[in-house]
Amino acid sequence: MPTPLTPLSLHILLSLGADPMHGYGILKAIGERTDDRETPSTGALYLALQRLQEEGRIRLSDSRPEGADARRRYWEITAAGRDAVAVELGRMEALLRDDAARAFRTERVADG
Amino acid sequence: MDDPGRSGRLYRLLLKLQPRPLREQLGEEWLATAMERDREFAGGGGGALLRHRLREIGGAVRSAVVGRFGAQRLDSQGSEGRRRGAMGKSERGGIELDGVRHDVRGAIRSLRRAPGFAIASVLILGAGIGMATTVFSAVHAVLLAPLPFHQPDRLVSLWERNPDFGWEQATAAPANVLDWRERVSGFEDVAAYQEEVGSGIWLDAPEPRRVGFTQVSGNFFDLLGTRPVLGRLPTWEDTWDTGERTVVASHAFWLNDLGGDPGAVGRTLELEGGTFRITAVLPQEFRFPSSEVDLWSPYGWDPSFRDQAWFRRAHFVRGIARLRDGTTAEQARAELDAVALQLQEEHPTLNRNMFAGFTPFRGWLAGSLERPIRALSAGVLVLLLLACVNVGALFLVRAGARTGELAVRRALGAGRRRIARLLLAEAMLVATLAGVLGVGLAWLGIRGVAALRPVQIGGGPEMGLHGPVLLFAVAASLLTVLLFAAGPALAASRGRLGGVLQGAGRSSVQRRRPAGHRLVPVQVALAVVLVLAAGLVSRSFGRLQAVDPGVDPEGVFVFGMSLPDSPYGDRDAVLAFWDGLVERIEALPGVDRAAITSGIPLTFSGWTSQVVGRSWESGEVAFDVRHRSSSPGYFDVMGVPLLRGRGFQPGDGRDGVPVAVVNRTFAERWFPGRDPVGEQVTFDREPDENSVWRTVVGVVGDEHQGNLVLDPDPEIWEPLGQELARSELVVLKTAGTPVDLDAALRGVVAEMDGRLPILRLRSFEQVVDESTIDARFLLFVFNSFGVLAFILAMAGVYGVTAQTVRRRVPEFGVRIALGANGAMVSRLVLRGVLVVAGVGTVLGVAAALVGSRLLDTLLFEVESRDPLTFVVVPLLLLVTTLLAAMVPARRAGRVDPAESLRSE
Repeated sequence: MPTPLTPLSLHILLSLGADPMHGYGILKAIGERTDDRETPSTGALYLALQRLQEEGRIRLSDSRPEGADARRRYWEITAAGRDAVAVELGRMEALLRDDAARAFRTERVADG
Repeated sequence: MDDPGRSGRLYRLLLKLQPRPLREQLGEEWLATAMERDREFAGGGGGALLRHRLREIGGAVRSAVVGRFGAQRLDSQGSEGRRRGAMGKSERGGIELDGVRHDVRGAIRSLRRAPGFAIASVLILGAGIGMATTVFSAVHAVLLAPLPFHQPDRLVSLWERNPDFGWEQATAAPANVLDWRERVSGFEDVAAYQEEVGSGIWLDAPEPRRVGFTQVSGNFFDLLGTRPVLGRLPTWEDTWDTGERTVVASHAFWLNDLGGDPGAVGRTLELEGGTFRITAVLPQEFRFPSSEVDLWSPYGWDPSFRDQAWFRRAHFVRGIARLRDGTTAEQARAELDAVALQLQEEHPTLNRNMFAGFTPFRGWLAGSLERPIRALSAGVLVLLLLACVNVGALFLVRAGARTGELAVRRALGAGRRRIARLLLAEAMLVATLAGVLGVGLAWLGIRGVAALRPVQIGGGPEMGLHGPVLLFAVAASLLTVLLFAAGPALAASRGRLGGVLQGAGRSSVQRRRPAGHRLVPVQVALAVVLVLAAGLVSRSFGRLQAVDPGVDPEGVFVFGMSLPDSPYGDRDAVLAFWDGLVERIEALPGVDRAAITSGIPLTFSGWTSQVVGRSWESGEVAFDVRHRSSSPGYFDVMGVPLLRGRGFQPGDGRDGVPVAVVNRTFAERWFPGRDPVGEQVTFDREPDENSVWRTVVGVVGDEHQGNLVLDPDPEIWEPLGQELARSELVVLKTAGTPVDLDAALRGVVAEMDGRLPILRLRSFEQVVDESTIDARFLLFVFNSFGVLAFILAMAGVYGVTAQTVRRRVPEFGVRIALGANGAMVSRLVLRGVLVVAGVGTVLGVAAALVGSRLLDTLLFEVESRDPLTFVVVPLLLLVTTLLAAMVPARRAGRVDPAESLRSE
């Protein structure tokens, strides 16, 4: 079973679900998904990208869109990456069903 | 406008912090993303952009730390650590770190309780570190930073030497350089280039402007080991005429003027001299021979030049060679000597007494900057030392004042180690704050220096907070604090703590003199050294300012103009333009007189020639005579007095009799005791029937052609109508300040030819200022050092004296009770100060007598051991030292015996 994913790593992997993307595109995608609540710094983003790459969860993509800037790097998700996302989402689902966790959840909602 | 450049620099710096593997794999992508995000915020308010950048800085610092050290921690602490690490929100725990944090908190608390001490230490040390770092950045740029060439230590700069002409390290004749290249086997290759950066007008620019231009042999870049960013660099074959004119563009020119166009190679530029095709773009770090060069063009010599006499007579190229692997400099030098002798034999006239030699490249580039930089380094180190001594004294005072507190801590169970750690943490905190302040000041200082007098060698980097410079700042702060602050504090803490709690701390048993007492002579000595240096430099500058430049700069302005090939192809068109220009400028309101000239004084402009007089003994030649041409109004505009005969007249044109004017030095040197007017001279070293003989019609006063330090050279003038160029300077004399001279002149030129720019309009006062820029820079820096040193020393004297008096209050009380009066007590205090300051002054003068040699060649008409300065400055310092001590001394005299004894 893979080690748990950090929130940032999870977001990155989710963003790469469909097409290969470069770092800036990933940031944009995360921003959209979270209404700009998650905006990691450039430093944090690339550190996470590099680690995910080392762990074999993403890799540099050979395919890139037409007219892409030559300096840009595009990443795509690997099978291992997809597995990791699936496991992480499963873990979250399990938590959502957990009574103790649910109590916290309603508290948060009540606060907000 | 500034944002792309500035933010680019910020993010490049942040990227540099990231771990190397990340930087290497993802550097460009990283930067591209950071810049794009930055642009998103650039449109919004400044506050949002600033917040974004601060967040990016924080994020980059965190990822730099986590990226380097996060991995090990992951293994030991499991997934929780990773989760935080990857999001960049790590809170690192651990016992060791806790201890450090505890110490730092303690230090912050304790410094907060003594804000005066903390602020003073940080300010003094920060100023010292800031100044030292600024100077070190100059040292780094000139002497240390690696040159961006392949194996730069194998490069040598070639020169010619000729005792007949008084030439040392002169530029060489191209034919000789070519022969060296072929015959000296110890040279792997030899290239040639123009040392002086020329300039030309770029005509089809969006707005015509001047571009920096230099010519090089085809193998120039290859010899330096440069690789282009775009295109293909010239090769040796391009030294010769290939039927096409080509240029290599600097990175800055490509980026700023060609918009970073990836298709720039192949584009053509209309320059003054014709059409040039761009063949390559150089890397950013290539700035040789100077950062002013925009375009490098291969010479494109005709191969037939090789056998023509002028190619060996005109000495206008600088040679540069790469030593062959396995060849020592001595071997190559011996070989070059031999080749130079061969060439003397083969060309007995042209190469008579012409020798050759070389200098290691780095030393060559550093050249005249090396001595001032050494002097500044020495000065700033003395200042830093003084700052350290002052801070050391502060730490001693503080240690003395808190013996009680430390004793309580010991009594409550704090071990000696614990206390030592606290003191060390305090010192480190001061060091860190001072270091941060110092780096900030250095950043300002470097900008200030860049604005005042850029310190850079050809090909080398600009001054800046480069890695080694920052390292220097860090090392300086740590070392100074450890040596001068932590040391005394620890020593004091080790002292007799036991007795303190029993009240001995306040009693008269205590040593009468504070520990800082011993530092006073050192402070005074260091200040004497720096104030003496400032005095010498000031006196030298005064002498320099007293030099008469030979012209009257008031109301005089100068600018450059350059006419393109077409339609100014023939001399009539050129002359007509210059004449028309002078006429129109003189018609402007507020302008008295205008003239065209090939050079102005104090700038080394103009050229030199050989002159032979018809009445001289045969074989007598005046070498290296300065040689300029001007239109009739020049001497009037510049206020150069006409001593004999006449100046130039409108009739001195092509059809008139060839005439010349000489300056006073020429007249005295070459026509001693005679009236030169009516004499005839020629520029041919060996006159024949084709020689043009010019009649000397006048003698004018001397101008300092080079700078104020150098004596005027012999000089000869030709009228513009007889010696004409398409690039000239225009000088004009105004009465009062015209409203907008720049606009008026642009209007005049635009009326005549809309394509032509006005180059560098400036007042002649500015020219004078520019010519003394090095002297003014030295003056400014040494005076700053002197003033700071003076303040620090006086503050030190005052502080220690005040403290001494405070400690001796009981003793003074007793003395006064026993019948001494206030004045006697005051004198007692002052006598002590005088002894200490006297010792310091003597030490300082002795040190300065040795150290002032560093200023030897930098002073003008003042000896580096100038007796006046060496008497006045120490006396002045002694007197002011006494004045500084006066206030506490008088307080000593006012001690009330009853009260002082009661408090005992």
